[in-house]
Order: sequence, then structure tokens, then C-alpha cells
Amino acid sequence: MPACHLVFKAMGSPCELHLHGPDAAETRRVAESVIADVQRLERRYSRYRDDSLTSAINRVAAVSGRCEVDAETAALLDYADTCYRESDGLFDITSGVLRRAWRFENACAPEPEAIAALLDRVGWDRVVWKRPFLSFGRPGMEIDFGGIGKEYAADRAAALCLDAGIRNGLINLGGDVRVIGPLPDGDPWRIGIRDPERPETLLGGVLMTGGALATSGDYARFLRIAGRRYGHILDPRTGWPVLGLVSVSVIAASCLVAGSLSTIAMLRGRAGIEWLRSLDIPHLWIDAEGGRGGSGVFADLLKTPG
Amino acid sequence: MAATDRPRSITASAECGDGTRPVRRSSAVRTAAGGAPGINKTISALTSAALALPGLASSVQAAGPMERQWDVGYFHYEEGGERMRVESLKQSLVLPLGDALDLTLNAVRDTISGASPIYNVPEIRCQDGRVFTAPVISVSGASGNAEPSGTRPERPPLNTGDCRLGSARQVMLEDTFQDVRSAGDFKLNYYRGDTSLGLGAGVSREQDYDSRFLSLDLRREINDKLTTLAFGYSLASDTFSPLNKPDFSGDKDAHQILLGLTQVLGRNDLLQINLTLGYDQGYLTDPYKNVYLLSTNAAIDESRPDSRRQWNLLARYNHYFTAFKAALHLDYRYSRSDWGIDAHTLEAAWIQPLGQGWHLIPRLRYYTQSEADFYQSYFETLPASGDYSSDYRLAGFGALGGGLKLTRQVTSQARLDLGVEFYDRQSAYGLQEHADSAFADYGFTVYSLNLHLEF
Repeated sequence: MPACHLVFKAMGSPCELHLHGPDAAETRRVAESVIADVQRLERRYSRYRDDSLTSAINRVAAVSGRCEVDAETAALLDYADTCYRESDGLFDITSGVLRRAWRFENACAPEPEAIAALLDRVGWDRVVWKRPFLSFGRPGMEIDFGGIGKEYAADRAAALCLDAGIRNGLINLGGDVRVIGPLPDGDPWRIGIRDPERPETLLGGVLMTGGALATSGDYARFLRIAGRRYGHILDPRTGWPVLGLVSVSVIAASCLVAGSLSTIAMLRGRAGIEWLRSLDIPHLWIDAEGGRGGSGVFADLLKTPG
Repeated sequence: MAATDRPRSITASAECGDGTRPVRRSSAVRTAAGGAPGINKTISALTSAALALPGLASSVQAAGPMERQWDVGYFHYEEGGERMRVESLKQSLVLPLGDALDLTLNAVRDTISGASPIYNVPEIRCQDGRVFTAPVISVSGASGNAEPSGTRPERPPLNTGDCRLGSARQVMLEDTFQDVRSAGDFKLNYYRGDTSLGLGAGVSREQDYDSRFLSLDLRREINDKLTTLAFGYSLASDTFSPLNKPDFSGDKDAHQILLGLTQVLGRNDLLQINLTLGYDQGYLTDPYKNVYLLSTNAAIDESRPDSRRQWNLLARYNHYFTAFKAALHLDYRYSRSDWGIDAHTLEAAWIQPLGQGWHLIPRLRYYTQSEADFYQSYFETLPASGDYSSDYRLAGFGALGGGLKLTRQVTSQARLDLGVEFYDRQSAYGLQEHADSAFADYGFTVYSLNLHLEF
């Protein structure tokens, strides 16, 4: 079966597509339409682009205004709202404004007053979301789809491939992986998991024939303050980076769900370990002390030495 | 003795056999661990919100071959009053065959024993306090307790003022010896893009009843996969060789056409409408049922029309309650046949996740039907139409049913279901106008245990 393998850069990350289809030209066309859709979502939702919809919404948010959004954005806001409720307020798309206090290039903590001032502009509960209208309870707020957009793009990519009749494929958008069926010969895809302590090496691989794998945590960017290691994921209640876990990987049916679950686990800190266990899904956690654990295919991976 | 009274499928109990199934399967996603989205409340909340995003419903519920899975179940069906008992073992194996095909293999073995009603006789009550059961001259059924022919049984003269007809009483076919039903079928599904095509066939064998069936169905998802259209056709060809009629066998063909529409109304709502048209032709009489004829004091074989047209409407509404993380399923069915039976069914089920992989599913059902045009509990004289039956299933009645199912996801690959279901038929529960058939009231209980494995 003809294969199409494309590597590209989108959403600030290296991305790749492996698609297998009955017809080479058609498979190539599908791959190109997938990349076009990923780029469309990036243009729409990137907070780094002034011409994005996110930036337009944030200009309204800056003056505590109200705006009407389209159906796709409304569904993303609904999804963000569900994440907020399911995480007891930890997963909050308004918390990005806190990044202004945390410059990970500097090796020191921000002033408490700076954090307090920013916390005043954080809180999904200060946003009134009544489809299709979004209004902001106080000036200076911001939203960003950082924790959702890439995962949504991966799921949409899979949907486009399935619609086009592709039954064997792998989509990797900067580490958020979505798998469509097995390899054409029936073998599962082998997906490498990076070792947070030694980013150039792999912890091992997991085998997948469907579903999605997402990882939260950033071992490359962290601060060490008073001997403690702080990541870049910020707790919207304290304004401080969360402590405890440095990396969480989750396997679920969709990339969005896998991504949100891994992020919520990170936000819960060490309590995230028990929470992950209660979800009864394949997961892997690694804490700041180098301890690790997990279930499902990851438990097997942890058992294998090296 | 083959007992035709018992439900042919225990899970779809008694009279609601319209054969309609939900068209939309739950998630057909394969994950590395066979992950089951929707088991945990957080996962199900996130998944349903994710499915509302443009295009994603298709990717997560993409029509594609089902996962490899095996179900094995045991059912115990027991009617009250020492009537019918059925022990049933079922198994079902689903095998994906490549990218576009899956094969389902089902096998059932039922062991049936117990008694079933053959006909009804009126009781005769006299002023002096005597109560007679009308003596019956002969039974052409399979019963071994038929009166020896020759002597004419005595009956007090009726309508003289001293003695009059009272309520009826069922005469049972006792000691039905054990019968075993073995059935097997396969279904092959082919998936291509938004369309899937299914082809199925099967056989069922009993001592006195053979059935072969064939089915074809076509499903197509349109409107960004929010709408599913379904079309189905099935043909069953049955042969009845009653044990009480050595040189006789009757054939019956049953055709059924299904038109279905499933519509996702929002992220929490789903509506399904199915219309089923049925046409049965051939030997539709039950050879083990008699009618009692008052004019001659005799029990004779019943006789039904040799064709039946029937149509069913199913309307199903599912709603997911975000606050409870639970789902409500509401079903309404209306069925009408040219035998004169109109039936309404209202059913509600509540699917409540309890956490830690536990689910509790309570279910309640109400059913009411009018009586067939040719039904009477017993007959004075034979009607001119030539069609007559006293089968209690053709009487007007109502029924209340309910059940409780507890399921536990033991591991990501194994689920255990435990269920109990009850059914209570009462003449008085019927809403439509009908003759009293309280003498035929009965109930049953079904206990079930099922193991579901994905491997």
C-alpha cells in the first residue's frame, strides 16, 4: 500500500504525518489537506499572531467587553468549560496571563505583588460564556487555547483522514499523537516515549493500533527555586507553577481527551497520581524526584529495564 | 414438547419483538489498551464535549470494523406458578477482518421445560353452590390427558336459572418434556467511508421447529455524521412440525423491512426513529393451542389467518445529563397489525456511572395491547370468518416490566454484567377496551450474568 510521509512545522512544534492509502496521489492529497487544516487552526487560534481570532477575542477581553463567536470556537469554549469543571477549576484557559510574571530565562521567582495583580485577571468563573456570546467580567483578562488547540488539530486531522478513507495512519503534532488503525500489515505502531531525565534517549515504546497519546510536562523549561523544581504549568489559584510531577502521558480515544487528562494530572501535583489511577486508563507519570509509575501499556514499559 | 409461548429471545422480552436495534454503535475506537471511553465520569464528560467539536464525532465514532471481543452469558427465565423455565447459554464473538470487514458469530442454546396453557374453559356456577368445570369431549392437542372418546361428559343445563357461566380457567399442557433450542448465526459487516453494509444469516433448530433467516442492512452517515440513515431487510423461513400432528408440517415466511433515522441533536441529545414493516405468510397457527367450544363441549385446534401485516414505529430519545454524568433513554413504540392488535410500549432506562468502573442501569417498561379480532377466551360457536383463537397472547392486556443491571468494568479488557428483570402481565393493566382475561395473568423473572472481553 503506498505510503505518504510528510514532516512539517506547525504550532511551534515539529510535526509528522504517516498515511497509508490505496492510491499514492490521493493519499498525498489527503496529507496536504490535513496540513492545510492544521495551518488554518494555527492561524485562527495562535495567541502569538495578531491576526488570529484568539488575539481578536483578547482585544475585547482587555476592555472587559463582549463578543460573539462562531460554532467551532463555541465548541472549543464548551470543551474548555468542561475541562474547568472536571478539574475543579485547575484547567483554566484564562490563566495564561500569569506567564507575564514568570520568565523562565530568569532564575528567580517573581514578586508576590506581581502575581497577586495578575491573579485578579484570572478565572474562568469571571467569564460569562452563554453561547454564542462571551463576555469578560473584568478588564485585562486573556484566554488562550494553548492546552487544547494542538490536540484538537490532531483529532481533526484524524477525522479528515478517516473521511477520506484512510484506515492506516499516524499523526504527530509536536508529541500529541493520534493513531488511525494499525500499520497496513496489521502490526501496531510503535511510539517512543522520551525520558525526561535524558531527553535524548527513550524510556521505551508503546504499541498502538488506535486512539491517542498525549504528554504534558516540560522537562526542558523549569526553574529551581530554593531547591525545588518548578515547571511551566501554572496553578490558576496561586499563580505559582505546580509542583510534584514533571511529566504525564495518557492514552485515550481522542487526543483532546488524552491531552486534557495529562494536563489536569500535572495541575493536581502529587495528588494527580491517585487521580490518574482512578481514571482506569493507560498512563505514565514521572515526578520531580525521578520516581515513576503508571498503568496499562506503560506499566509494561516501566518493567522493562533500560 | 416445543413451547411456542416462550419468548424466542429472552432479553427482548415477551411481546416487543420488533427487532429494532440502535443503529449507532458506541465508540469503535481502538486504543492500545482497548481503552473504554465513558467509563470514568471525567473521561465521559470530556469525551462528549470533544465530540461536539466540528468533525470530531466522525473520528471518534468512525464507522469501522469492531474490536475483537467475546461475550458469554447465562440467562435464567422463570415464569411464576411453576410454568415455563428456560436456561440459556449465549456466546458472541466479534472478529475484525482487516480494515473494512468484521464478522460476528453468535450461538445460543436454550433448555426449555415446564407447562403452557392450551385453552380456557368457563366455570359453571349453580345456585346450590356447585361449581363445574365444563367437561371437555376431546383434545386434539398433544396433551396426554385427553378424555377418552366415546362417553359424552355430563354438564348441567345452562341458562335455566339454576346454573350460569362464570369466569374462565386455563387448561395447561402439563409436564412439557424438555426441549432444547440450538441456534447459530453470523453477520458480516463491510465499512466503506460513511457507508456500511451488513449481511447476516442463521439457523435455529428445535425438535419441532426449524428456522432459517437472512438479513441485509445498509447504514449511511450524512450531515457531518450527525445523521445516520438505515435500511434493512430480513427474511425468515420457518417450518413447524408439531409433535401432536405426525403427518403434518406447516411453513411460514416472515419478511421485514426497516427504515431508520438517527439524529444527533446536540452534544447531549440523540433521537432515533425506526419504522418496521412486517409481512408474514403461511402457517401462523399455533398447533398446540385449542379453543373451547361451548355448543359442542369440545376443545378443537385454533385457526389463524394465513397472513399478517404489521407495522411498528420506534421513537427513541437519549439525553445525557451533565450534572449527574448519567444518561436517560426513553423509548416509545407503537405497533399495529391487521389482526387487530394495537400495542403501545413506553420504556425508560437510566444509566448511572457509580465510579470505579461500576454502572447501575434501572429500567421500567409499560406495555398495553388490544385484543385480536378473532380472539375470545372461549367460543359459543365457531365464528363464520373461520379464524378463532383463545391464545392469551392475543388477548387484550397490559404489562409492567422492569429491571436492574449492575455492570463492573473489572479491567480495561473485561466487564461483568449482572441483571434481574421482572414482568407482570395483568388483564386490568390494559388501556384499550378488551374482554377480561385475568385468568391468564402471569409474570416472569429473568436473571442474567454476562462476561464481556475485549482482547
